[in-house]
Amino acid sequence: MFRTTDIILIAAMISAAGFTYMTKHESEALRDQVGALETRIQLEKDAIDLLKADWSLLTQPRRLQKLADIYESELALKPLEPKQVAEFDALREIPFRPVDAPVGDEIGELLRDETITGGVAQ
Amino acid sequence: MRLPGLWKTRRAAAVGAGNSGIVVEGSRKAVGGRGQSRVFMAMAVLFGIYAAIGGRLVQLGLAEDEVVNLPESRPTASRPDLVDRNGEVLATDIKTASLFAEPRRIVDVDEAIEKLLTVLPDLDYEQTYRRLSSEAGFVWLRRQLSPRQQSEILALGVPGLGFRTEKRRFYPGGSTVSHVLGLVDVDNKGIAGIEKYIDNQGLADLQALGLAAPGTLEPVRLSLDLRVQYILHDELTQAMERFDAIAAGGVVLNARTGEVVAMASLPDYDPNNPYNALEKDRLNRMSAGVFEMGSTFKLFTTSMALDSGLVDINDKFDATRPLQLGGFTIRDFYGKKRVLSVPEILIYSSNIGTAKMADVVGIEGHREFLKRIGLLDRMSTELPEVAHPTEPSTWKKINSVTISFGHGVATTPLQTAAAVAAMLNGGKLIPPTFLPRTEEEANAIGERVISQKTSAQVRYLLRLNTEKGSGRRAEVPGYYVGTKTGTAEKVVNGRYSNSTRFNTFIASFPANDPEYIVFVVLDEPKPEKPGMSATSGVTNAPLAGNIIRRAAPLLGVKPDFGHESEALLVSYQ
Repeated sequence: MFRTTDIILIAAMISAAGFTYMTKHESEALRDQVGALETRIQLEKDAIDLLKADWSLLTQPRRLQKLADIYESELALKPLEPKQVAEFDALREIPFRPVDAPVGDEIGELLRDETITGGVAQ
Repeated sequence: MRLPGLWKTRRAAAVGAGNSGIVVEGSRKAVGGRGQSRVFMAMAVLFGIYAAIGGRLVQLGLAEDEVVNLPESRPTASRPDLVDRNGEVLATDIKTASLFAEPRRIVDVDEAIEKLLTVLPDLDYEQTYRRLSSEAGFVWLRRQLSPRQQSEILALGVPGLGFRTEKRRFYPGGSTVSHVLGLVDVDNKGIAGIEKYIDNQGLADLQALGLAAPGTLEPVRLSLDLRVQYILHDELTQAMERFDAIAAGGVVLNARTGEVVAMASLPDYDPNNPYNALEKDRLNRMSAGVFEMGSTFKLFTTSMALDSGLVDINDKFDATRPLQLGGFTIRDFYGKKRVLSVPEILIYSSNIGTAKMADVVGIEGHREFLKRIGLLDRMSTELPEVAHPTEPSTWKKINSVTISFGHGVATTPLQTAAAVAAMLNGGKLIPPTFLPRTEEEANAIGERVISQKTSAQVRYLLRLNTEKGSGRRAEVPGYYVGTKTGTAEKVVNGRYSNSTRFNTFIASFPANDPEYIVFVVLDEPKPEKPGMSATSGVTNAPLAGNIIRRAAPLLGVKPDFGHESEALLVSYQ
């Protein structure tokens, strides 16, 4: 009663249905994954926005000023004086040290100096 | 149920047919009749069941929706971030979560509140209890929580609580940049300041069309510098406190481009919590308030006289005696009672001398000059809050005389600063802007109002005023400040009062070729100690000096110690 062609066609139909089902299932799974990722991306973006706002809050001049005032004595902070601003060209005009001067002694002198800068160990 | 029934009937029919070769109608009828009644019964039962199901469906469909109406998240529009000239955030949108509860779904109210109190310690127990035990379908518990609070509440695992996200405008600087940025309403629409300006520039239309999705809007860069803005705000706050003034204001203006680098007006408000923003006292005085500027106007009178060509910088005017005019007597505050040269008139702030200079130009010429430098018209800038200056309806001689030293015309501080910039930057009037502008753009739109030569003379006059006149306290070594003070008497009960004052102060640096103008005003400053004076040279000059000392390095102005006392040489040549 069943001819070979019938069997082949039925097999083809079943496999086609199976394939379609598989593809659909897979695409649905992927779509879910995309949705989940999109939600996560949105969450991350929101978090970035929030962190940016947080950062600008933490770097407000008002806050930095307060911190500078608090640690003024501890870190020996002082407001910048106009005299301390110099350009590179101005530095060039400062004459070189005489070559034969005992450089080591000068550094030794500096260490004995009372003013302590950041570069000198206490 | 249905299938077995049919099966039985058919089988019965088949049995009946197979038993005898002859089909007897009677026996078939006998069997078929019973079968038919069964079929009908089955049909009736099935119909009944389906009718019941259908009826219930219809009933459910028609039934009033008893479900709790959860409120929609408020559809707040997205706005672009506002950033300063260095890209620091001035205003941004953040998402906040608001906590709501559905009282009917809460199992144990006491337990729910106790748990919530661990996250929100300031929650009102009684009020919350009443709300949660009510029959309402839905109650708000707390709006605009931080994400940390939200996750902590989620971790509590209390049933019947939920969140809605809302967008909110956030200003990290708080009151530091309040007036320039303006305000938004609950729907995130700009209602004041730059926020309103952006809406008027097409953002509102974009939002209406639904095109302003979050993330598609580029940040708007302003000309402000947050650091300088903070310094200005900080110094103004201190000065207002020190001199017990009712208000203070200041602007730092780029003299070459017209960019407003900083502008503040005190008292102000916190844009994050603007409950008091609409109080009359908190308006933006710098652009929406008009004031008589006092002696700073002498700068304009002097420029006008010099630019007209009718007065030379070495001309002398007699300021020996007070000026009598139509029942009024014009006196000098610091009377020298002698003949004064033009530079002396400015540095001793002589009313008599200035009035005589204005007289040389004439009433028409005087009015035309002030109009030319934009002091009689409403200034055009991005801020929506701009006041119209006032002037006398008809200019008589007495008006011209008083206006020459700053009484009789009321202008906004911002437009005065812009006019000062025009006097000092080589003579080009550039409308002030809150958006970045290059020098080329400024040159293209700037209008020449005085000659280069006059501008150079005015610069030296201002420098002279710092070295020998009333602006000494504003000097910052290295920045070569040029100054002019103004102490206007305020009108109290229709008369000029000599105890309530409006102090103005112009500072430019570096004076030989100004890059920036600092213009500060104090409303009704009082002497710091009894017996001390509270004129502009005492109150405003140190204020401007402090601002320059702190802000100049940030603005990239190079200190120069090379040219001291140049002003003296030029003016006394």
